Amino acid sequence: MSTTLQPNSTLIAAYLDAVIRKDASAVDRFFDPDVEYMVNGIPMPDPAGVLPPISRDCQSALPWLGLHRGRMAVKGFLAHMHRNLEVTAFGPREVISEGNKAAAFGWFRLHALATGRTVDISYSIFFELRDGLIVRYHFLENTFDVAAAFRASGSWLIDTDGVKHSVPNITENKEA
Amino acid sequence: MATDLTPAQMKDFVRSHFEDFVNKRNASVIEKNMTRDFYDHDGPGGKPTGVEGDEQMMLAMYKAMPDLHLTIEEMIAEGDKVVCRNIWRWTDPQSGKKMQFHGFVMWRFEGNRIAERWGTVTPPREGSLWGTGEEQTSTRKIV
Repeated sequence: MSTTLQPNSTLIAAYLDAVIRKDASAVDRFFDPDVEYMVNGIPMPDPAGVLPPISRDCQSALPWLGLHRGRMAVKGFLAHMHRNLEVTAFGPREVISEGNKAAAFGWFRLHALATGRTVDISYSIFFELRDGLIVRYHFLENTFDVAAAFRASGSWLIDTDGVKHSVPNITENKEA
Repeated sequence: MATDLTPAQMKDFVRSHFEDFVNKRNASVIEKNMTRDFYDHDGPGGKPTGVEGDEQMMLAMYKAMPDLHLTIEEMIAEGDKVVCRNIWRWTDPQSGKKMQFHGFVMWRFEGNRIAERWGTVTPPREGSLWGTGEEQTSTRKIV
Protein backbone atom coordinates (compact mmCIF):
# COMPACT_ATOMS: atom_id res chain seq x y z
CA MET A 1 0.00 0.00 0.00
CA SER A 2 1.16 3.55 -0.64
CA THR A 3 2.99 5.23 2.18
CA THR A 4 0.98 8.44 1.87
CA LEU A 5 -2.70 7.76 1.46
CA GLN A 6 -5.07 10.21 -0.13
CA PRO A 7 -7.84 11.44 2.23
CA ASN A 8 -10.44 9.30 0.49
CA SER A 9 -8.31 6.19 0.95
CA THR A 10 -8.22 6.95 4.67
CA LEU A 11 -11.99 7.39 4.71
CA ILE A 12 -12.59 4.10 2.90
CA ALA A 13 -10.16 2.32 5.23
CA ALA A 14 -12.11 3.74 8.20
CA TYR A 15 -15.37 2.48 6.68
CA LEU A 16 -13.96 -1.02 6.15
CA ASP A 17 -12.65 -1.04 9.72
CA ALA A 18 -16.17 -0.14 10.92
CA VAL A 19 -17.56 -3.07 8.92
CA ILE A 20 -15.05 -5.40 10.54
CA ARG A 21 -16.12 -4.11 13.99
CA LYS A 22 -19.77 -4.72 12.96
CA ASP A 23 -20.40 -1.07 13.77
CA ALA A 24 -24.12 -0.58 13.20
CA SER A 25 -23.67 3.17 12.72
CA ALA A 26 -21.42 2.72 9.68
CA VAL A 27 -24.23 3.13 7.14
CA ASP A 28 -25.33 6.49 8.56
CA ARG A 29 -21.78 7.73 9.14
CA PHE A 30 -20.21 6.78 5.80
CA PHE A 31 -23.00 6.65 3.19
CA ASP A 32 -24.74 9.49 1.40
CA PRO A 33 -28.53 9.40 1.99
CA ASP A 34 -28.99 8.62 -1.72
CA VAL A 35 -26.20 6.06 -2.05
CA GLU A 36 -26.27 3.64 -5.00
CA TYR A 37 -25.23 0.35 -3.42
CA MET A 38 -24.76 -2.53 -5.84
CA VAL A 39 -23.78 -6.03 -4.82
CA ASN A 40 -22.52 -8.13 -7.73
CA GLY A 41 -25.05 -6.94 -10.31
CA ILE A 42 -28.68 -6.47 -11.18
CA PRO A 43 -31.24 -9.10 -12.28
CA MET A 44 -32.68 -7.00 -15.12
CA PRO A 45 -30.69 -5.65 -18.09
CA ASP A 46 -29.18 -2.25 -17.36
CA PRO A 47 -30.49 0.27 -19.94
CA ALA A 48 -27.14 2.06 -19.81
CA GLY A 49 -25.23 -1.21 -20.25
CA VAL A 50 -22.93 -0.38 -17.34
CA LEU A 51 -24.10 -2.49 -14.39
CA PRO A 52 -23.35 -6.22 -14.61
CA PRO A 53 -26.27 -8.61 -15.07
CA ILE A 54 -26.72 -11.49 -12.64
CA SER A 55 -28.39 -14.78 -13.44
CA ARG A 56 -31.78 -16.05 -12.23
CA ASP A 57 -29.97 -18.77 -10.32
CA CYS A 58 -27.77 -16.24 -8.63
CA GLN A 59 -30.73 -14.06 -7.67
CA SER A 60 -32.61 -17.12 -6.34
CA ALA A 61 -29.68 -18.46 -4.38
CA LEU A 62 -28.48 -15.16 -2.96
CA PRO A 63 -31.57 -12.91 -2.94
CA TRP A 64 -29.86 -10.11 -1.02
CA LEU A 65 -27.75 -9.32 -4.10
CA GLY A 66 -28.66 -6.51 -6.47
CA LEU A 67 -29.02 -2.76 -6.45
CA HIS A 68 -30.07 -0.94 -3.29
CA ARG A 69 -30.71 2.81 -3.26
CA GLY A 70 -30.53 4.89 -0.09
CA ARG A 71 -29.44 4.19 3.48
CA MET A 72 -32.66 2.39 4.46
CA ALA A 73 -32.33 -0.03 1.56
CA VAL A 74 -28.69 -0.67 2.49
CA LYS A 75 -29.70 -1.42 6.08
CA GLY A 76 -32.36 -3.79 4.78
CA PHE A 77 -29.79 -5.51 2.59
CA LEU A 78 -27.38 -5.91 5.52
CA ALA A 79 -30.10 -7.29 7.80
CA HIS A 80 -31.16 -9.78 5.11
CA MET A 81 -27.60 -10.86 4.50
CA HIS A 82 -26.79 -11.25 8.19
CA ARG A 83 -29.78 -13.57 8.66
CA ASN A 84 -27.99 -15.91 6.28
CA LEU A 85 -24.29 -15.57 6.86
CA GLU A 86 -21.64 -14.40 9.25
CA VAL A 87 -18.30 -12.92 8.28
CA THR A 88 -15.81 -14.48 10.65
CA ALA A 89 -12.51 -13.04 9.38
CA PHE A 90 -11.11 -10.41 7.06
CA GLY A 91 -7.80 -10.79 5.23
CA PRO A 92 -5.33 -8.05 4.31
CA ARG A 93 -6.72 -5.48 1.94
CA GLU A 94 -5.53 -2.74 -0.39
CA VAL A 95 -7.22 0.63 -0.75
CA ILE A 96 -6.37 3.28 -3.32
CA SER A 97 -8.10 6.49 -4.34
CA GLU A 98 -7.87 9.26 -6.88
CA GLY A 99 -10.05 12.34 -6.84
CA ASN A 100 -13.57 11.39 -5.77
CA LYS A 101 -13.12 7.68 -6.54
CA ALA A 102 -11.60 4.84 -4.55
CA ALA A 103 -11.26 1.07 -4.71
CA ALA A 104 -10.63 -1.72 -2.22
CA PHE A 105 -9.48 -5.30 -2.80
CA GLY A 106 -9.31 -8.06 -0.18
CA TRP A 107 -10.91 -11.23 1.10
CA PHE A 108 -13.22 -12.31 3.91
CA ARG A 109 -14.25 -15.61 5.49
CA LEU A 110 -17.94 -16.36 5.12
CA HIS A 111 -19.86 -18.78 7.36
CA ALA A 112 -23.17 -19.88 5.81
CA LEU A 113 -25.59 -20.27 8.72
CA ALA A 114 -27.90 -22.74 6.93
CA THR A 115 -25.21 -25.24 5.99
CA GLY A 116 -22.41 -24.47 8.45
CA ARG A 117 -19.96 -24.19 5.55
CA THR A 118 -17.09 -21.71 5.66
CA VAL A 119 -15.42 -20.31 2.55
CA ASP A 120 -12.89 -17.57 1.84
CA ILE A 121 -14.17 -15.06 -0.72
CA SER A 122 -12.12 -12.48 -2.64
CA TYR A 123 -13.90 -9.16 -3.10
CA SER A 124 -13.38 -5.82 -4.78
CA ILE A 125 -15.27 -2.57 -4.32
CA PHE A 126 -15.41 0.57 -6.42
CA PHE A 127 -16.44 3.71 -4.51
CA GLU A 128 -17.44 7.21 -5.52
CA LEU A 129 -17.50 9.90 -2.86
CA ARG A 130 -19.28 13.23 -2.50
CA ASP A 131 -18.74 15.65 0.38
CA GLY A 132 -16.92 12.99 2.42
CA LEU A 133 -19.65 10.37 2.03
CA ILE A 134 -19.90 7.28 -0.17
CA VAL A 135 -22.42 7.99 -2.91
CA ARG A 136 -21.69 4.94 -5.10
CA TYR A 137 -20.68 1.50 -3.82
CA HIS A 138 -20.20 -1.30 -6.35
CA PHE A 139 -19.17 -4.62 -4.84
CA LEU A 140 -18.00 -7.73 -6.70
CA GLU A 141 -17.20 -11.15 -5.28
CA ASN A 142 -17.00 -14.67 -6.61
CA THR A 143 -20.72 -15.48 -6.49
CA PHE A 144 -20.18 -19.11 -7.44
CA ASP A 145 -18.15 -19.67 -4.26
CA VAL A 146 -20.67 -17.77 -2.14
CA ALA A 147 -23.65 -19.70 -3.55
CA ALA A 148 -21.79 -22.99 -3.10
CA ALA A 149 -21.58 -22.31 0.65
CA PHE A 150 -25.39 -22.34 0.82
CA ARG A 151 -25.90 -25.41 -1.33
CA ALA A 152 -27.22 -28.68 0.10
CA SER A 153 -28.59 -31.64 -1.89
CA GLY A 154 -29.08 -29.64 -5.08
CA SER A 155 -30.88 -26.74 -3.40
CA TRP A 156 -29.86 -23.54 -1.69
CA LEU A 157 -30.94 -22.95 1.91
CA ILE A 158 -31.84 -19.28 2.29
CA ASP A 159 -33.65 -17.12 4.87
CA THR A 160 -35.57 -14.59 2.77
CA ASP A 161 -38.05 -13.12 5.24
CA GLY A 162 -37.41 -14.68 8.63
CA VAL A 163 -38.40 -18.11 7.31
CA LYS A 164 -36.02 -20.74 5.97
CA HIS A 165 -36.55 -21.58 2.30
CA SER A 166 -35.08 -24.30 0.13
CA VAL A 167 -34.47 -22.84 -3.33
CA PRO A 168 -34.02 -25.43 -6.08
CA ASN A 169 -31.37 -24.99 -8.71
CA ILE A 170 -33.51 -23.79 -11.62
CA THR A 171 -31.01 -24.17 -14.45
CA GLU A 172 -28.08 -26.33 -15.28
CA ASN A 173 -25.80 -23.30 -15.04
CA LYS A 174 -22.65 -23.93 -13.11
CA GLU A 175 -22.34 -20.24 -12.44
CA ALA A 176 -24.39 -18.66 -9.67
CA MET B 1 11.26 -1.98 -5.96
CA ALA B 2 9.06 1.06 -6.35
CA THR B 3 7.73 2.17 -9.70
CA ASP B 4 9.43 4.80 -11.84
CA LEU B 5 6.09 5.82 -13.33
CA THR B 6 3.69 8.57 -12.33
CA PRO B 7 0.00 7.68 -11.79
CA ALA B 8 -0.80 9.17 -15.22
CA GLN B 9 1.94 7.10 -16.85
CA MET B 10 0.74 3.93 -15.10
CA LYS B 11 -2.80 4.54 -16.40
CA ASP B 12 -1.49 5.05 -19.94
CA PHE B 13 0.50 1.84 -19.58
CA VAL B 14 -2.58 -0.14 -18.50
CA ARG B 15 -4.71 1.34 -21.32
CA SER B 16 -2.05 0.37 -23.83
CA HIS B 17 -1.68 -3.09 -22.31
CA PHE B 18 -5.40 -3.85 -22.57
CA GLU B 19 -5.57 -2.45 -26.10
CA ASP B 20 -2.74 -4.71 -27.27
CA PHE B 21 -3.42 -7.77 -25.09
CA VAL B 22 -7.19 -7.94 -25.61
CA ASN B 23 -8.46 -5.74 -28.44
CA LYS B 24 -5.51 -6.15 -30.84
CA ARG B 25 -5.11 -9.84 -29.94
CA ASN B 26 -1.40 -9.54 -29.25
CA ALA B 27 -1.03 -12.00 -26.38
CA SER B 28 2.76 -11.95 -26.40
CA VAL B 29 2.79 -8.29 -25.29
CA ILE B 30 2.40 -9.65 -21.77
CA GLU B 31 6.04 -10.78 -21.89
CA LYS B 32 7.13 -7.16 -22.46
CA ASN B 33 4.69 -5.50 -20.06
CA MET B 34 5.05 -7.74 -17.00
CA THR B 35 8.04 -8.36 -14.75
CA ARG B 36 9.74 -11.73 -15.09
CA ASP B 37 8.25 -12.86 -11.78
CA PHE B 38 4.79 -11.36 -12.46
CA TYR B 39 2.19 -12.89 -10.13
CA ASP B 40 -1.51 -12.98 -10.98
CA HIS B 41 -3.31 -13.70 -7.71
CA ASP B 42 -6.60 -14.40 -9.53
CA GLY B 43 -5.72 -16.16 -12.75
CA PRO B 44 -7.87 -18.61 -14.75
CA GLY B 45 -10.22 -20.54 -12.49
CA GLY B 46 -9.42 -18.16 -9.64
CA LYS B 47 -6.00 -19.75 -9.20
CA PRO B 48 -2.69 -17.88 -9.13
CA THR B 49 -0.59 -17.92 -12.27
CA GLY B 50 2.17 -16.04 -14.07
CA VAL B 51 2.93 -14.63 -17.50
CA GLU B 52 2.59 -17.95 -19.30
CA GLY B 53 -0.73 -18.85 -17.66
CA ASP B 54 -2.30 -15.51 -18.55
CA GLU B 55 -0.93 -15.63 -22.10
CA GLN B 56 -2.41 -19.11 -22.63
CA MET B 57 -5.73 -17.92 -21.17
CA MET B 58 -5.89 -15.03 -23.64
CA LEU B 59 -5.02 -17.26 -26.61
CA ALA B 60 -7.92 -19.52 -25.63
CA MET B 61 -10.22 -16.49 -25.29
CA TYR B 62 -9.28 -15.26 -28.80
CA LYS B 63 -10.45 -18.62 -30.18
CA ALA B 64 -13.66 -18.84 -28.15
CA MET B 65 -14.59 -15.15 -28.49
CA PRO B 66 -13.51 -13.98 -31.97
CA ASP B 67 -14.75 -10.39 -31.61
CA LEU B 68 -13.77 -10.00 -27.96
CA HIS B 69 -13.48 -6.33 -27.01
CA LEU B 70 -12.70 -4.69 -23.68
CA THR B 71 -13.62 -1.20 -22.55
CA ILE B 72 -12.19 0.48 -19.50
CA GLU B 73 -15.15 2.20 -17.88
CA GLU B 74 -13.24 3.77 -14.96
CA MET B 75 -9.63 3.88 -13.86
CA ILE B 76 -7.87 5.32 -10.82
CA ALA B 77 -4.23 5.25 -9.71
CA GLU B 78 -2.37 5.93 -6.48
CA GLY B 79 1.18 5.12 -5.42
CA ASP B 80 2.28 2.05 -7.39
CA LYS B 81 -1.22 0.73 -8.17
CA VAL B 82 -3.91 1.14 -10.81
CA VAL B 83 -7.50 -0.08 -10.53
CA CYS B 84 -9.84 -0.46 -13.52
CA ARG B 85 -13.51 -1.24 -13.91
CA ASN B 86 -13.77 -3.10 -17.20
CA ILE B 87 -16.46 -4.64 -19.40
CA TRP B 88 -15.57 -7.51 -21.73
CA ARG B 89 -17.99 -8.02 -24.63
CA TRP B 90 -18.21 -10.54 -27.43
CA THR B 91 -20.62 -12.38 -29.68
CA ASP B 92 -21.07 -16.05 -28.90
CA PRO B 93 -20.12 -17.79 -32.18
CA GLN B 94 -22.67 -20.58 -31.78
CA SER B 95 -25.76 -18.72 -30.58
CA GLY B 96 -25.00 -15.28 -31.99
CA LYS B 97 -25.89 -13.77 -28.62
CA LYS B 98 -24.14 -10.64 -27.38
CA MET B 99 -22.33 -11.60 -24.20
CA GLN B 100 -20.44 -9.72 -21.51
CA PHE B 101 -18.71 -10.00 -18.19
CA HIS B 102 -17.52 -7.27 -15.89
CA GLY B 103 -14.39 -7.04 -13.80
CA PHE B 104 -12.55 -4.96 -11.26
CA VAL B 105 -8.79 -5.34 -11.63
CA MET B 106 -5.89 -3.99 -9.60
CA TRP B 107 -2.32 -3.85 -10.95
CA ARG B 108 0.87 -3.19 -8.96
CA PHE B 109 3.89 -1.76 -10.75
CA GLU B 110 7.59 -2.35 -10.16
CA GLY B 111 10.04 -0.24 -12.13
CA ASN B 112 8.24 0.38 -15.42
CA ARG B 113 6.40 -2.95 -15.58
CA ILE B 114 3.44 -4.68 -13.96
CA ALA B 115 4.43 -7.03 -11.14
CA GLU B 116 1.13 -8.19 -9.62
CA ARG B 117 -2.56 -8.48 -10.53
CA TRP B 118 -5.73 -9.01 -8.49
CA GLY B 119 -9.11 -9.34 -10.12
CA THR B 120 -12.78 -10.07 -9.50
CA VAL B 121 -15.01 -10.83 -12.47
CA THR B 122 -18.70 -11.58 -12.91
CA PRO B 123 -19.91 -14.73 -14.66
CA PRO B 124 -20.54 -14.30 -18.41
CA ARG B 125 -24.12 -13.22 -19.14
CA GLU B 126 -26.09 -12.12 -22.16
CA GLY B 127 -26.05 -8.34 -22.50
CA SER B 128 -26.73 -6.57 -25.76
CA LEU B 129 -25.74 -3.02 -24.87
CA TRP B 130 -22.22 -1.91 -25.42
CA GLY B 131 -22.30 1.08 -23.08
CA THR B 132 -20.49 4.38 -23.24
CA GLY B 133 -17.86 4.41 -20.55
CA GLU B 134 -15.86 7.40 -19.39
CA GLU B 135 -12.70 5.57 -20.26
CA GLN B 136 -12.28 3.63 -23.47
CA THR B 137 -9.23 1.71 -24.56
CA SER B 138 -10.32 2.18 -28.14
CA THR B 139 -12.63 4.39 -30.13
CA ARG B 140 -13.65 1.39 -32.24
CA LYS B 141 -17.41 0.87 -32.14
CA ILE B 142 -18.82 -2.61 -32.04
CA VAL B 143 -22.53 -3.08 -32.61
